[in-house]
Amino acid sequence: MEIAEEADRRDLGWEDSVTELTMTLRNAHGQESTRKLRTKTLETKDDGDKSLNIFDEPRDIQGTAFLSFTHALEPDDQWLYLPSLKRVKRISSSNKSGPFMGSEFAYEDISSQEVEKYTYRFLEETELDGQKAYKVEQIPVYAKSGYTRIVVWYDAAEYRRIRADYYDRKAELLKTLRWLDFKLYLGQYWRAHRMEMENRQTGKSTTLTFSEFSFKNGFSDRDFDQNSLKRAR
Amino acid sequence: MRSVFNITHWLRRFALYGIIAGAFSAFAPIDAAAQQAVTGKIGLELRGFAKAPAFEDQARHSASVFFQPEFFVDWAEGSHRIVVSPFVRLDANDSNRSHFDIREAYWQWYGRSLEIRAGFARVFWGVTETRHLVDIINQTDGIEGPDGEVKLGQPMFQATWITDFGTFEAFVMPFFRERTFPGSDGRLRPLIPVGVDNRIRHERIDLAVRYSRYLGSIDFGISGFWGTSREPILAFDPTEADLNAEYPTIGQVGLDAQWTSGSWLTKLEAIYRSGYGSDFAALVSGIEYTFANVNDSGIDVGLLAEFHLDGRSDILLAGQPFQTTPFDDDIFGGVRLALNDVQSTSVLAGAVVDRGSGETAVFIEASRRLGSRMTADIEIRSFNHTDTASPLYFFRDDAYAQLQISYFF
Repeated sequence: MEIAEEADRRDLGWEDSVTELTMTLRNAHGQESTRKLRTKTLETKDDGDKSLNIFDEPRDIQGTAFLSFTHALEPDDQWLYLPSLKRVKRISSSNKSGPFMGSEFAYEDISSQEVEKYTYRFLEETELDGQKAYKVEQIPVYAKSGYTRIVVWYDAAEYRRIRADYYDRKAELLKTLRWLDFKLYLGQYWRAHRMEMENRQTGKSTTLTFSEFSFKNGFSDRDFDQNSLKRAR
Repeated sequence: MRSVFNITHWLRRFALYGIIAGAFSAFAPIDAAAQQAVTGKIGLELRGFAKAPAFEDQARHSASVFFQPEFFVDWAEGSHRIVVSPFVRLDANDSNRSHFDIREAYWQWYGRSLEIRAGFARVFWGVTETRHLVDIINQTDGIEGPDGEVKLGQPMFQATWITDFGTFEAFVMPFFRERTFPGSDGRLRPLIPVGVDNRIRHERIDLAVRYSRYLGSIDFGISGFWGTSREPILAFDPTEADLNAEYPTIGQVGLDAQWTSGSWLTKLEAIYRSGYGSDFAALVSGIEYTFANVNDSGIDVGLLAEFHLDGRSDILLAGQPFQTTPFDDDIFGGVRLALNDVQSTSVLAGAVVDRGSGETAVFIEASRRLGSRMTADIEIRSFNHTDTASPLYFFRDDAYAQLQISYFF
């Protein structure tokens, strides 16, 4: 619990961020397909973050935008903008365990990480890739989570998540996620520029590659509302 | 006989809006940091009909190609934008279906809490699946498909005021667009084709307002419209021997709302309209429940139900009372499948059944990505037990399957 709280405390005050990301989906035969999106995030005090994702590729969903207000324990508020119909649709956020864009990432893996979303148990102090790390078991509070537990490695030096093992509803190891290529921003905030998710049961994998992050852009709630969803592109 | 592409007419309108947009954009010239892009889609559509046509002149099957590019430029740090998106379809049989439209051609300015737009644009209001009662700004491009989902670009001036208490929008529409209908060669048409000249008319100024916001799990909008009805009233014209589409001046208030709670969506759209025959009210209300990630397969299965009621009066056609909408008292049941796979495969299937006559419209819509730049869309519709007093009676032999392949650039 203290480890997760410390990790959370160290990542406060960045206000807002913008980045571009590329998702590379790989099936068991090594066939690849890519998605490109831009993501804007607004740090929100005493609540989950707000985020706006705009899709650039594949081309048929270009301009589709996804607005999400995450909450620690209440269901998130989510809207989808469909540019071909000019339609803003409020969507159900109960589908946290389903795949995001056909990838190995579930919605719950990429949504804002709030301390209250899990209960914690310290497992051990260990070593991962030559770094001292704390291994913590996290159990999702959310009843419809796709996981019975997640084992997370935090590096002891910076309290960054560096690896997570996800266990499915049958308590079998399902996926392993690694955070890589960390870079320090504003002298305080660490961001991974690569996330590798491997499905240990199917052999499929997804890599997220992030471009440079830009922080403190002066965004407000106005940049994260239904009108901003319509103008996103 | 009208020409298929009334080019001079379009160029005049286009020039007018170009001048207006140009005048506005003169305040903030397009700078070096401007972002621009050309995207769009091009595709092929094939429609096969199960039965021989019901009426003379109609071709059995249909094939067409379409092209819809989009040019956009954003400048002055994204506070100014111009979007231009024409659309053209060429149909092998139906000369009406070979048509051209300016789907979008507008300039927009984005302030902190105010947005201004001028030009041809598309606006959507509503929440339900099988009928869009409240959605009234744009005219239906009726020739594109019988579900009326495709719309023509509407010339407008739009102001949007965004406050902490919701969003206020006002629309001033100096031009009216007539609905498009299939020609005598085309299927999915009435016994006698509707006479059309696809004019853009300037007879009165149509006005609309809307207030929308969300409160917790409720999203809602209240709208008002005063002007030319987008839905025509059809009357037989003995001199031209065709059906004449008349567009009365109406007043309409609308409400659309959705309550999103867990896996449940509860939807409501309602209108009250005057000036279109006797005053009437209509509503569509529905629910949607999604079984997400069934058995950890990643597949979502949604169940939908919608209820339709419409109090509009019948018209007299050849001396007989005739419904102007098939949605007078109907129930829809359907299933939505989202495979959430790499190809984003999805299916929506269902049936709308008239509670009085048993008239049934069945549809299946499926789509799947092919590679990274193409999609395949399949649409199947059939009209069964059609009632002789319903507009669907004309489609009684028009069950079809359609394949559309689109390439995105």
